Amino acid sequence: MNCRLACQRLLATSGPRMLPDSVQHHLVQCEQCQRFKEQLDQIDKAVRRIPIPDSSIAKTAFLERFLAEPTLVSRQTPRRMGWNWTLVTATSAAVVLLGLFITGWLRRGPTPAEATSDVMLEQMIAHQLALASADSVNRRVEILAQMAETLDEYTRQLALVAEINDLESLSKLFVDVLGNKGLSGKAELVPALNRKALLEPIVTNLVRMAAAQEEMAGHVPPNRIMAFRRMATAAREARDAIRRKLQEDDVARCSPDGLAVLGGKS
Amino acid sequence: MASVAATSPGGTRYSHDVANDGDQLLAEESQLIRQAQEGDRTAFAVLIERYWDRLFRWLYHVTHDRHAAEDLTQETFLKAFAAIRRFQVGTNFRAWLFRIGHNNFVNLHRARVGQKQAITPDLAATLVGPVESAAQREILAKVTREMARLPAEFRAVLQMRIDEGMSFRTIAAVLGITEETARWRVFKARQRLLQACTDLQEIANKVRELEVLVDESVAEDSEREPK
Repeated sequence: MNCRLACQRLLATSGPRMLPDSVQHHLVQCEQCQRFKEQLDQIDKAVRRIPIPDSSIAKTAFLERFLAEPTLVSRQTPRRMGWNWTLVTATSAAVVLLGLFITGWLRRGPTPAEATSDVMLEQMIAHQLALASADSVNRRVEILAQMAETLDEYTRQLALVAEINDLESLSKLFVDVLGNKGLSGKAELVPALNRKALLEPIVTNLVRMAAAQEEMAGHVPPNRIMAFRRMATAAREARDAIRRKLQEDDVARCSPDGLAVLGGKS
Repeated sequence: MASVAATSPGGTRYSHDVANDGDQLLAEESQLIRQAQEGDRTAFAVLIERYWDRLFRWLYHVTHDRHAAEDLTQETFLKAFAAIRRFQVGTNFRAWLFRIGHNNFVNLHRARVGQKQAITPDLAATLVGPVESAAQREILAKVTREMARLPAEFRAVLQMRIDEGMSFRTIAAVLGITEETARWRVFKARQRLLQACTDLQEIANKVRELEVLVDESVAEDSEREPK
């Protein structure tokens, strides 16, 4: 082995690897290559010892915050199911709305419609954050109802200016927010004691939304009608589902042991 | 133990862990991961404690920005915890963690192109202990400066290889590159550091001569690397 080949092998041998026997034999006989290796060893050693800033304060603070947050519950619990759905819906909302805003802006430049979708985006993200941190079914129901209101209001404002695909996406999101995995499903889980007070105003709003969406369907071009009809239907179905639940409560309240079941007072 | 040894065949700090703590450490780590997969934050906090410094060190070398490195380290652990159920116990947790860290870095880099922060050249001199010889201090200062001039992708690979003792296969998996590319980057990075740091003319000349042999060397080297 010559010096050039030995140095080449030395440079190519790094980390935990052992030097080939042929190189080691050459090193025993060649002082120049020994110095080459020593220099290389010093550099590797220096690489391992390059000073970096102390991050122990950041680590301690992070660990404290990390441990202070509530422990995740197992995936079998209802809470976990609700959380997953929340995340999916919220993320979908953000993606759809962001897409709406960006595509619209790129296509036409800032217009009143963009300003509208921007405000809607902000509101939906705020809902998303609130939903992610909601600690009770009641609170989740409230936020889902607010999301539905936001979507109802802004889809009508954007009825003539949004792209058809965006409108379709918003309308499907509205259906999801009100569906069995959304407001209708969560309303079932509201404790009996608070159910009426919490849900009756929501039913009133759903009635209003259904009427408004139906009316809007009568004023938009034919290719946009379906999106608003779908929203009107979803609002009616959610209204009916919640009403049924409230009626069941009324029946239970009239039964002999109903007061105990509903936690009411005599 | 076997799978980790296969993907990371010893090395500086890592071989120390394996040699001293061996199976017990890995068994403990697997147990901590399983507990974390059940949602146990305390168990995951032990893993954070164990890997924070090495991950931060690597991310700092890649970013040269203390705050960015801290943010990336935190984000990496949060993402790792969020995805811990998908981690397969018994495989290389460190490589998985570094992979997440690298993805975070890539995302940050895309968002902050052109905002490179230079490393402080005097940092080496201020932090080296009194036992260091003048020659060692000088080399450390030179290596620190020269490392800062290397492209981030070269620093990333060199630190993984020299500092973390990772195999080229693991480095390739973490960074999403081929093993040959990883080998070539380490070769070139060491060559450049040697060229910049040596005061010996004979060595400087040799390093220059080796330029033409890089490709050949990398090809030969790839046949020898333990998998």
